[in-house]
Amino acid sequence: MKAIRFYLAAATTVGVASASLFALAQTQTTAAIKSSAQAQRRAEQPGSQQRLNRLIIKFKDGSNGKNIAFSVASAQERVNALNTFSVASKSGAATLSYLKSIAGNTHVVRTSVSMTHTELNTLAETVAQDPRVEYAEVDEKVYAHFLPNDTFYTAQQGNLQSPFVVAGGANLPNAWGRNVGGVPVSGAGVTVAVLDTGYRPHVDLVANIVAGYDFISPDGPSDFTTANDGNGRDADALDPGDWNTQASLCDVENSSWHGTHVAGIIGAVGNNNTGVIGVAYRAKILPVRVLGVCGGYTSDTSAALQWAAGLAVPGVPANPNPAKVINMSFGRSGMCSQTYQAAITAARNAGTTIVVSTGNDASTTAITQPANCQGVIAVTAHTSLGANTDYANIGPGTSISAMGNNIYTTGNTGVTVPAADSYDSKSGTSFSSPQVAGVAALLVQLKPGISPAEVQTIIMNSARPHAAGTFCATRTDCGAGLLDAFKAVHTLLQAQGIANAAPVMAALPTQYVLPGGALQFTATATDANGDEVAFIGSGLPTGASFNAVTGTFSWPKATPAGDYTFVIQPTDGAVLGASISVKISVTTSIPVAPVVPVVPATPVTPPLTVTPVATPSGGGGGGALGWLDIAAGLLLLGAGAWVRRAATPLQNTRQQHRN
Amino acid sequence: MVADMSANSLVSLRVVVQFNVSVAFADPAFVNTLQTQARMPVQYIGSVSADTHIYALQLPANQDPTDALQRLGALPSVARVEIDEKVKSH
Repeated sequence: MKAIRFYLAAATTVGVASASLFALAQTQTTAAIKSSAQAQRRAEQPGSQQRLNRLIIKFKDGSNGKNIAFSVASAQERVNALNTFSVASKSGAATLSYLKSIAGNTHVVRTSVSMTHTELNTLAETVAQDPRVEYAEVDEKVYAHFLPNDTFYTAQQGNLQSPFVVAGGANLPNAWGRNVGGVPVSGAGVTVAVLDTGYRPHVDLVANIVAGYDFISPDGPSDFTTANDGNGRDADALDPGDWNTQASLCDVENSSWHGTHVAGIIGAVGNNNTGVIGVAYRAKILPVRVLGVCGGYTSDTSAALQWAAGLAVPGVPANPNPAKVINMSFGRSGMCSQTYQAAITAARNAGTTIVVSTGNDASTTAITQPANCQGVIAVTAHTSLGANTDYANIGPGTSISAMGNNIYTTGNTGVTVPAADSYDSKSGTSFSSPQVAGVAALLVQLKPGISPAEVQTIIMNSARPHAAGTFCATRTDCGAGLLDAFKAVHTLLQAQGIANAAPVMAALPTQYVLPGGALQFTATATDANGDEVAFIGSGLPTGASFNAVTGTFSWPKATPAGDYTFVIQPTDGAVLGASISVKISVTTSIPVAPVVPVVPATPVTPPLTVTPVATPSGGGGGGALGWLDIAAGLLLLGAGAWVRRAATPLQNTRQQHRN
Repeated sequence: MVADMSANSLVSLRVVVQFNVSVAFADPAFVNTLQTQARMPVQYIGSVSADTHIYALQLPANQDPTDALQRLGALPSVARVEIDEKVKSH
């Protein structure tokens, strides 16, 4: 069926006032179809310690006859007058100076001293009490969403994304968007120890590396098989490679660069226009070499664990960079050994959070040690869809899950000895654990004195439930759920009294569509924190789809005729905003909509006409018209003057969004 | 356990020993005491913590280490003895 869309054209002579109203309607409609991701800006959080020094002041126009002299004064003079009569007596040493104008009566002023948000807000309230001032408010700083510019972030690091983008994602973006004391939530100021194969000075990692240690001791007298560097414990934590050619020892394997991969997941340098970003991209990484050829010893890893936490180990220099978080992506079968338990208890008592992978034996009954020891966060792995992987161990002691498949980060091209920097993907619980360690570092940044128990409680309590229908959905031995960084950060911020505003949705008018026609509209929301906002839809008509990320509702063939209600609720990933109900009417009785009038060279007053417009695709059907359109159209109808008009660029825009 | 097939078929077995009193854990005289008790060569390798240390026992490849471990554990100063197992990356 040939699609027909009706447009009413508007006369121009009528309409300065009505045109402006309709322009407003169009503006609102157009704004409503912008991606929420483009529209969001983040206001500075009231809880941050950043100091501010700007106010926006709007003066009254003096049209009531009072303060005539004041209203005709220059902006500078008006501001100076406030110093004399309003500010000086109530703001201590602070005075105001004119900075620039926004509009006729609205100006930006600067305070002579920087203040906290609370102090500046108090000053704004004082200024607003002046009878010549209409309002005064803090000139809030706004920020774009934190979208890392790291080369591979968008395409390769799905494990860090919002769950609305990647179901199994760790939900980092809105966590990174917060700040503490003006510093982004990024693990800044926190040291995370990586007990592993050592590290390579990868260009995307080395800036975050602090001096570590090599804890691999000889296998026996003058036997450095495991160490593979010709010596025992020393201050060189570089990874010489862990390749093995002796089948009698263990599987013949190339070098893994396992430690460089794990370190990159936690602390690859972020937002540097290079490579990847780490979960805690400003944390310091303390590399502690404990794994070599065919693994490492329980004793060396236990010694390293305690040293990393700042405890003394005989024969080893004191650690100048004690870690508040330790990651251990290794293990072996069996119950937790006494050696491990003693080391873990000591490190935890020293205030260090310990994160351990559960192993890759596909066990559904037991996890490896030291993941099964008391006092650790034991991490299993799930897929990008949120289902437990077919290799990840689960069992008693499992705390939480993070994505474990194709985790992309820093590597090395060397088959045996080190070669060039690289980036690559690896899978395993080894790579889910460091994501949890990274989130732990974010929490430590927010609350430096936080206890390991509190970190564990927050991370587990903020986990997203295992998805319905997946293997772990009804089990109790898969841990608390899926890692959610933003929920964890949000939980701690709330406990610190720092509020998180719920996103607010823009209203959507009734959507009309012809039976069999195509309908598309997009929900938008604003968020005072500047968070990325996603949308949860319910009541989807058969055959329609809804994109939770873009907020776009699409119904290629709207049928059968009737009225529908689609409910949309916004969320920033931590809290839900108020929902809106969108009425959808599939009907042949579509109210007509006017278009924006364009001023012609010669005013005309032709009779009202109706013009059918074929859709560009030639298929589908009616378009969706909003009440704003209709209201404005009625206003113009009342003026009794319409013209027929070809589609304007604005009309084309609307068509594109509705087909 | 790492094989050392080049020399008289001895293998090294690393053990973790926790002491219940302060000992000169790396002192040759003390290590000799351990060696006498274990009835095989013993070498100090390193430490885990102030009271827990690593030693390597040299024993024939075909010898069960259980007896040696029990003998070391029988020393009044020893709280426990544990074979130093290897872990692998996940």
